[in-house]
Amino acid sequence: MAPPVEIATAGPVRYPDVGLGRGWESAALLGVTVLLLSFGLLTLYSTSSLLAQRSGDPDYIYVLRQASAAAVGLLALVVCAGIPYRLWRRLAWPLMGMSIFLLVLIVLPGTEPIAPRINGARRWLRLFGVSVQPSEIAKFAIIVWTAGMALRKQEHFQSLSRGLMPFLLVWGAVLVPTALEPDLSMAVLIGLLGAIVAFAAGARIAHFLFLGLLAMPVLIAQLGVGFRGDRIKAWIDPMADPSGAGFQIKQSLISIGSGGLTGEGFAQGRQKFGFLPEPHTDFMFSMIGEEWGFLGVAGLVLLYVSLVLVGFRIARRAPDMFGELLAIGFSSLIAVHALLHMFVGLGLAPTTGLPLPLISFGRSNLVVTLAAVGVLVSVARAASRPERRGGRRRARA
Amino acid sequence: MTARRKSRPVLRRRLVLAAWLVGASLVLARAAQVQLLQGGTWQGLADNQHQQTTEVPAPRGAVTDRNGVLLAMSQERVKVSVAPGEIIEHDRTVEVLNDVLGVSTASATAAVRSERRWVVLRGDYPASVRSRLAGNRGVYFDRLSRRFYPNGALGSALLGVVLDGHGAGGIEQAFESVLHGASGKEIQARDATGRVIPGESWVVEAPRSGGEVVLTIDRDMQEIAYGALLDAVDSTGARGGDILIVEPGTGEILAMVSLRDSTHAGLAAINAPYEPGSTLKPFIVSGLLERRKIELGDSIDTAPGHWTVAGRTITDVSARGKITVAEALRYSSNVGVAKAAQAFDHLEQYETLRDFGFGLATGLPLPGEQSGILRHPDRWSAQSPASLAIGYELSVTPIQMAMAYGALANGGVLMEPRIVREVRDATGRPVERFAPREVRQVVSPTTAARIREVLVSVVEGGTGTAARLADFRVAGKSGTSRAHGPGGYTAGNYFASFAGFFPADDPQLVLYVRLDRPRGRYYGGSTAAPVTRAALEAILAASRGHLDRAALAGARREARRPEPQPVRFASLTLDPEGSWSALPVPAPATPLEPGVRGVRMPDVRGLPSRVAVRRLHAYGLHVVWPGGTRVVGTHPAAGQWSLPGDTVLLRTRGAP
Repeated sequence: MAPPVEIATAGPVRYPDVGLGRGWESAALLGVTVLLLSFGLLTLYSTSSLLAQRSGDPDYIYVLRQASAAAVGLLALVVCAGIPYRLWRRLAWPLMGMSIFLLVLIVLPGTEPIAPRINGARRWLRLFGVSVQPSEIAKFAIIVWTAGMALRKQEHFQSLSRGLMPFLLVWGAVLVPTALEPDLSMAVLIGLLGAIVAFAAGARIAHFLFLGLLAMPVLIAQLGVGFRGDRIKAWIDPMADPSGAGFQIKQSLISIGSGGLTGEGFAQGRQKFGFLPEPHTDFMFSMIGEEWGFLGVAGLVLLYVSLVLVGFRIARRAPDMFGELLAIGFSSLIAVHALLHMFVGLGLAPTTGLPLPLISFGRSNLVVTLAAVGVLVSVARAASRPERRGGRRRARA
Repeated sequence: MTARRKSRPVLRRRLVLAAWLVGASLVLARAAQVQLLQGGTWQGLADNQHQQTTEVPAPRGAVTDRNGVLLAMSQERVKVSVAPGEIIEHDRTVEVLNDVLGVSTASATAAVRSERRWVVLRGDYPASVRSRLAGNRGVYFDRLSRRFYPNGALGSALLGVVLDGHGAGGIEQAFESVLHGASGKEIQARDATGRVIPGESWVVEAPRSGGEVVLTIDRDMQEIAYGALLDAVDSTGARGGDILIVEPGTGEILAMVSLRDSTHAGLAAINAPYEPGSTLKPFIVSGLLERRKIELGDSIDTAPGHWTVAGRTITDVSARGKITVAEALRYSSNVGVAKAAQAFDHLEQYETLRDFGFGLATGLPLPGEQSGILRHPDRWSAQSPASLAIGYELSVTPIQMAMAYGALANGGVLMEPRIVREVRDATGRPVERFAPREVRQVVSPTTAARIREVLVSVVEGGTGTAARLADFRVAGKSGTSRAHGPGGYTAGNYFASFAGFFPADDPQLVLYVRLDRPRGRYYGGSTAAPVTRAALEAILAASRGHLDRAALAGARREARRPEPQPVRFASLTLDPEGSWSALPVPAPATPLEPGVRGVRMPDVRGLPSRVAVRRLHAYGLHVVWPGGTRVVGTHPAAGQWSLPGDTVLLRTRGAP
């Protein structure tokens, strides 16, 4: 990989202006995003039409809902791409504060009218007919906030009290209410994203080990509780109880496995006839495996890989550390979702309810993911602006 | 600034990226393992849960009478169900159900708007509704094979029924392997709840239709026998009865009807043995004649009308003093025949009865045939020879009696009874034919002829005069025997029997009638004999049925009535309609078109079903009576033209 400096010194290399940014990175990012989004809507129709009919709705209802979220998300993408990413540094605390406020709000007793319990968990805030998942906003916030905070605390990373404690306090304020919803896998995911950004910013490895040791008893205790324990057991040996907890994993593997090389064909999957739970959200990847086969799976993985590669290229070319951390954080947001979702489908991780970014049904997640792409574009734009590059070099000198 | 530049940790970024790339490779490797290496295994598991193999029931074969008239047939029907949750256009679905199935709008709405997941509509529908309703979301079908008996209750005991796709009782059970056919296989796609996904099924193995069973039964005679027996049971108040019409030369059963109150199911003519009483006497006498122990002209002293042998007193209805053996038979003298039987040694008497087929099942291919009891002389008491001579201490079934009389009518040759003429495969190709089979020559043709002549005298001027026909000579023998109740013979309980040959000199038909515990007049001569006569008259009048009419022409009594008279029916019943003779003579036959003579349908609405059936029979029409006590209409309706031989469907109400 050529260092960016070379490009800068090679003179005024002109990239075609693609509207939102001048580098090919933006174009590639948007291309892959639109590709995934379109494929997602198509697959969503295949997986959700039966579900929609079962509940007496027209077969396209989920696609319609998802498309409306996509419209909102694309708007968010354009806005995020348009505003200079450095603005996020100033918005980090307000964003974080709002996230914590919302997360606490929905788990407080007495707020059931606006935060109803759905399937035993209070994860949504319902206001004025719009339903929002605060933990999705928290994912966005923790990346922005940790990136900003890491820069400020960079000098104190060696210190436990000044380098680690502030992070722990704020992360804890996000993770605890999230875990109380309860949504443990989301809490773990948010913590993971914060840790990735901090890690990329150069936090001490020893601190991560310390944190790991600290979290271990809590995690183990939590994992032993009720359905989580069953899920872990089922993951280790899915065939032991194919009708109970192992059912989902087994059905997912049947789905993917029966796809073979080329798949059953679009909309030809049978597993959605009630065998696979939540084929339109948690097990979307399994349906793709069944209908599109290994070729489809490989294509999908390549799309995500290219998205993440471009994201990390943007990080490398970012004019400053904050931009780099944002790019790493938001690329990782997409990567970690995609990987964990696919791991679950393939039986490589215990069952969690993570969506496949840009593809699974889930409107909050779609909007946040598209906004993340917008931030990446914003960083890319800054990187490809010649005066910015110059400015950065000046700053370095 | 140097510290800050230094602090852009390239390695850290690369490590994070590397982690994601490793993760992606892991996904690809695992997907390759699951989809490419283990694909077959998972595909197998998938097929296993996505598909189910179901049986496609084979259409059950038909049962026909000897002329191909359908007695039992199967039709494919469908049951229709709706899954309200899957229906989107509720009003349209209601409309379609109403239109295609004729379901009322109210009940269609109730089904379509139900809260339940699954609603099965009442009744079943022709298979054609399947295609007419196809494409309607939330509407499902279940194949159903329905057995029809186009001739109603006519042969129910003989035919049996079909329960859960398998024959139970009668021909349906006996010929299950022929009628059932071989089920096919169908693979159906199903969802996780096991419900079949509409339109996703493939027949991988077509069902093979069941074969056809052709009976020896003649539908017309069966119908007539049924009617005559029904009348007799009705008018005598009997618990039930049996009638058999057999062709003596071949042993073919032309009609076999058993009627019992509903508690006694089955075919009593073959599975309910009884002590026959006097109808057994001709076999004793023919055995004596065959062995030259006595002659018909030998005289026996029956005075004073009773005779005590080994402690048992045998009585006659009326004392006749010194009579011949022939007269003893003609007047059914118990004392006369019992005394004559003394000429036998025990083994001879036993062998005579055994040779006529008593004590052994006849081998009819029907479930549940009983052999009756004929004890070996080793186990006889001192009374036994006399008891056996007058038809006690043994039990016989009506089919055994009919076949034994058949031997007397058939020159002394006992035939094996046949109920099935032919078995055909689904295409109608005969697979198996059942030819007439002689069992043995029981008595010589001479002996048989002599006995037959005595039996003619029974009808002409003995105990069986009620069976006498105006135009033909009939031979017959009546019998009345005491019926066993729990704990022995009970007062007032009798079996009345009558056996008859028609015509006497060259018998084409042997009829055997048994009435189970008639009330009031219980003598066989006055209760069972008229059934024979009514059946014979109806057979002759109907000008249908299995008869050699050319041969009959020669057997007609000499020229007492040169012109065929309008049919007259014996007055048998006490029904509110009055007697048969009160009926209008059927058919001032009016030509419909040149050469075709039609009849105008009489109005039988409001009449008791049995009366209506008789009246329509008198017009030469077939009647399908679905059960039900009172007629509310007919198809074709009153006043319409129909042809003799046409089938009339009765519409009735009231419990069958």
